[in-house]
Amino acid sequence: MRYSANKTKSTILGWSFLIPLILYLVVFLILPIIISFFYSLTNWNGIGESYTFVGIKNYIQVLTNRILYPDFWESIWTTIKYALFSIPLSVILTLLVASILNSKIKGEKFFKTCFYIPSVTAGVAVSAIWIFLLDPTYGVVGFLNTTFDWQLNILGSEKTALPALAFISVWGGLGYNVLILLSSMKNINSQLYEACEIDGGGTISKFFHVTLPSVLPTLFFLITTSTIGAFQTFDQMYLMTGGGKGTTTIMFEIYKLYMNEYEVGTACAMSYILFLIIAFVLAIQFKLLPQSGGTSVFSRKEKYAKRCMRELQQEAH
Amino acid sequence: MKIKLGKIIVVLASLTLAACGDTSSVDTINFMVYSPATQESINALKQLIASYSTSSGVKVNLITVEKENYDETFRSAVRNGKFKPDLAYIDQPLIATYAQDNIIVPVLDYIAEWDDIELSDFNQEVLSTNEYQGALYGLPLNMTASVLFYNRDLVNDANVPTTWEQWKNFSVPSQKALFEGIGVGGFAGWYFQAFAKNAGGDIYNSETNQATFNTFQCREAAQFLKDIYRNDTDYLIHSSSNPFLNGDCLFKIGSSFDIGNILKQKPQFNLGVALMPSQSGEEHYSVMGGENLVITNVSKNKDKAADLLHFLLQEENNSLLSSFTGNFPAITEYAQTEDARLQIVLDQLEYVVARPVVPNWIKINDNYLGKAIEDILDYETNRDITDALSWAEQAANTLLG
Repeated sequence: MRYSANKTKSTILGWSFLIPLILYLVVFLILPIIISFFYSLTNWNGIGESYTFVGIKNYIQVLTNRILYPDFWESIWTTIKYALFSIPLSVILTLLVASILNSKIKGEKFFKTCFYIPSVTAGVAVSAIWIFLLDPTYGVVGFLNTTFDWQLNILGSEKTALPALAFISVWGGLGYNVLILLSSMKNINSQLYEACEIDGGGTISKFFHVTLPSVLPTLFFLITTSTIGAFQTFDQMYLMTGGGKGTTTIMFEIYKLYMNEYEVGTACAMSYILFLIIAFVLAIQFKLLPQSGGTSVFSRKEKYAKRCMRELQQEAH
Repeated sequence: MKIKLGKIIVVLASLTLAACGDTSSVDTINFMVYSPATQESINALKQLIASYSTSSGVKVNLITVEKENYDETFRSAVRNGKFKPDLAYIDQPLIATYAQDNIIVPVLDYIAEWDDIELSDFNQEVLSTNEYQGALYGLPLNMTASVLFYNRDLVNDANVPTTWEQWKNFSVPSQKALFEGIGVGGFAGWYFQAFAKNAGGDIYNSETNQATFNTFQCREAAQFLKDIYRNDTDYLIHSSSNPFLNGDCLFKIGSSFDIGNILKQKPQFNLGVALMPSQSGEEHYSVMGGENLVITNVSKNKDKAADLLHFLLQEENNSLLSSFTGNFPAITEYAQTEDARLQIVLDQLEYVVARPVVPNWIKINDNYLGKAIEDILDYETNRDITDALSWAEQAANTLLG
């Protein structure tokens, strides 16, 4: 009887801890997901009380009507280009910087802070600084143009605006990515490096045979989050180019439809199309990219290192 | 303990429900306005509303919202907000959309009861921005017109162009650009109407049921814009921030509120203001801006909202409210200034053209007309004028049809 009362009490206590989180999930995640899907099947404009259920018409219109939605496919292509540029660049730079910081250089904390500063700086301030730096007549670029009589127009040209925004975004997120990867690198068993050294491996060999396989799960996490972030990118375009010069991404298109054109139903349909695109890309990533070095390469290396240690101990005896 | 807890929960739930409910009572109305730019203006606005409350006995909840987020906030508030607006500012091109959706109500019956203000007192072109399908859905609070700005350090007052020919052939100092341009998207579409009108055409027909972007006059206007904007040496200047304010451009288009902004940012800037040049040099057409006041359909106190509207349109009050945005009162008699530059804007207001009052005009303006003009003027895209305008016209007529 007493056991039962205690159990009930602990169950109530458990639920009381869970309820705020469950409420949060239901109110701010599950309900909006359901409601926005419902809106995507209506012609609601976000103002009036009445709307008509139109089925999948919004989805068909977005995908096929080039007159009403002339920029949809272009915005998809722009988003893909942005992702193709920013994700590899982000991964390479993160690996490079984290490896350098992991190599016990002087002033590691100072550099870590420097790289992390953009992550804690307001996006608007970052954008304002970059707009000034890239101004073709007044910023650093302006200085180069005047000094060397160049015609650099980075944000004003379709060829360079999107890569520039991708670079700025990578630069902004680098500090966070580096910290995550660095903490993963710090957890690598030092014996693995010693074993690699015994095998005659140098810095590059250690990186490719020990570091990289060991941080693969973290790297996979970073690639996944970067992919989602790249497909949902919006703020740099909104603040720095206003979507001009070939920088209208799908999120920007959704924003315009919802906020400026009062097409809530269509904007929701577009959001679900974006969701499907992201899900498809992530599915490919999960299929193709190695997700864990721990079970294959990592454990193999660890076993090898242990065997080496045993042999060394035997020789010593 | 259990009873106490239960009571507390019931009280809390009741309070929450009450807070979520409609706050309007018989003697309370909600007034939603753009947030004035300065604290001084905010205080003046609060004082004005307080004086109305004192004299009328009606409590007014003043809801100030940043202009950038205004429409979204208004829509949310009308749908399910705690403070559903009874009286509100609305941007001119949105009247048709809100009227179609039954969000705002016709106001003619309320005005009929006023003995000191008549419809003929308003600038008629500005008033027409409230007319949708034969009904009047609001009253204009303030108005402005776009005019030609010039840098007096680079342009002599006597040489300011009045015709397109003079503007096109204006002698430009080296390292400077002739014209800052008409912006992108919405701005490009909006300003283009003035050029189309000055070429003798317009961007829609008289029944406002068809777009006429691809007429000879519109193509001529687009070609003129290309001539004054596109010059290879201007490429970098046009991509920089605020080229006019930085002294790199001779001319730009702006409105009365821009005058204050320019002088606030650079008090020493030698700003000149002139009427928009036209093709013939006779009638200098321009586009208008401004805010209208509407009574919402969700209002439970429409009579009191109308009474506040009446109060706000009194000369002193209207002038004060208009001054927050740098515009002029829409009642012609009240629109006066001693500033020479603002006087040009007042003169220009005699030649303003309104945007058509049709739903979806913002989409047509921003996505089709604006995009077409943007593509025509863009150095890289360099789209053919006829191709761009015919595409925009076809797309617009799909929506209008």
